[in-house]
Amino acid sequence: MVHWSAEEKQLISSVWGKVNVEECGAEALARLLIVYPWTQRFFDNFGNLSSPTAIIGNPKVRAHGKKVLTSFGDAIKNLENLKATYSKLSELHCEKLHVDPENFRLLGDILIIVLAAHFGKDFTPSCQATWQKLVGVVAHALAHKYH
Amino acid sequence: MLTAEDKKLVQQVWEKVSGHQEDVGAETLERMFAAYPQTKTYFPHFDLHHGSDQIRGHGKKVVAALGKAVKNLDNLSQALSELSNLHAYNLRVDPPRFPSQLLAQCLQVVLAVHLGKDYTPEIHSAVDKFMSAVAAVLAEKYR
Repeated sequence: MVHWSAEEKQLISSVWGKVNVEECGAEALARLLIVYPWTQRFFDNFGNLSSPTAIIGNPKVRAHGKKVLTSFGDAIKNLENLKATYSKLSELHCEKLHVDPENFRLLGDILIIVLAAHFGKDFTPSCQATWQKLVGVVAHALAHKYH
Repeated sequence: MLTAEDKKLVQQVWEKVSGHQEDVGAETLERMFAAYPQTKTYFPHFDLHHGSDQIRGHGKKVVAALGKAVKNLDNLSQALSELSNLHAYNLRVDPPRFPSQLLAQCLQVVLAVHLGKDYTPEIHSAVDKFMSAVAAVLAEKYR
């Protein structure tokens, strides 16, 4: 069971409260596909991913990015119970999607960079530390049902 | 690994931080120690409080070394040769993770904080590749 201090919970909710889930999600997923192009292997049916411009403008990327980050929001509402919250999603990523859990870590790190770019100095070292912990725990929960 | 375009972008970004090297270095290290406490194990002899002279001094060293790498993108192995020896034989920090993941992530966050929208996906990608290349050279002599 992961322990979250009152300060950590505050840092998480105060950042999350200001996040535009659609924009941030789209940007995070686009950057994943741009910075780590091998991740495109999971999105063969997304159409044009041939350049950063194509990826950023791709409506399927935007929609999927929004979906992914919306699900992240569920994690934030259920910090005390992440493994259960993500149990089905974990099975899905293992059994149907066949995603190497290393990719969850990559996406988590990218999300942090997107937040840093948006919030600037407000994304303090304590903020970053708390969010690195959060993305790590989410990645762990998503990998938990792998077999 | 690094295309001509990547090299240009890395040099551009480095231009932008050239006035603030000490700050960038110190902030990168501070974020690394906060987010990844295991990295503190390599600095038991340091005062790790916010604003410590040792962190500023060491941050400046790290950024200067990266700056040297940026000036020698066509010849990283040679430019970083001494540092590579140092990391392999003296410092022996955990090679795959320390420089490429943990330090790189924190450097990227500092750059993103300072550049905001200007930290474009293309620049993000180029810097990520650059830090991977640096880490690979530093790890060359480990065994």
